[in-house]
Amino acid sequence: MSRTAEFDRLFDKHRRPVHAYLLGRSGNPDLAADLLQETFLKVWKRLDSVLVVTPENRRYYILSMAKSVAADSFRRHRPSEVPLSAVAEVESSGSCTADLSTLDDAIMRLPEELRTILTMHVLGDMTSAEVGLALDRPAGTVRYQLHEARRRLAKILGIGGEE
Amino acid sequence: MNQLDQLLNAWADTRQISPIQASAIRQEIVGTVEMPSRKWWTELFASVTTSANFSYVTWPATSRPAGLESRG
Repeated sequence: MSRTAEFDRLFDKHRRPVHAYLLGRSGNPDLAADLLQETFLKVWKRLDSVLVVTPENRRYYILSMAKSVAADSFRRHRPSEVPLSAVAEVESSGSCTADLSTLDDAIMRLPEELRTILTMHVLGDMTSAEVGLALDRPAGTVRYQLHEARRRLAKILGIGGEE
Repeated sequence: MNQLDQLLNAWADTRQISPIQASAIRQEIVGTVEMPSRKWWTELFASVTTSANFSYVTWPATSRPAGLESRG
């Protein structure tokens, strides 16, 4: 298989979870797309070392590259970051007519940690165990944080079923 | 599936990298011209170092760049 074909296979298979991670970290769709490109540029440049990794671990290897790309970018220009414990919950809008733009806004206003886990799960199609493996934390913690993210969103959107 | 799940699934569809966007990113990275493989470079350097006459290079026949004719 040619170098380009190998890269295309990796890009098609892993861009979704990597993008989900970067969107969660940055909370900014444009920046996430830029960081996705930077991450896969790194993959392209280091293709030989990526291909040495076993197929089942490649996702985590590429995600570790994404972490490093995000860290470099945030050192230059840090997106607004607030510690999870210091974030007050946003009051419910009281409206039941939640639409996608309200949800989008609510997700982007979640604390980075909760947002990243939520986007990796919902957008990246990753299980709690997979998210835990990628972020180096127990699956139980991921499940709790997912529940917390959903609870906050339900409250903001004024819809029930997450208490 | 509850209302929040339905909304989250719909949201995920809107926030995915679109195929067009993915293709543009991929194109930016790979470019339009494929880099010669490591094997190609190895063959090229081998042909240079083993040749008694350094005035020309025998391009590896397997993947000679278009427009470059072998002088061998």
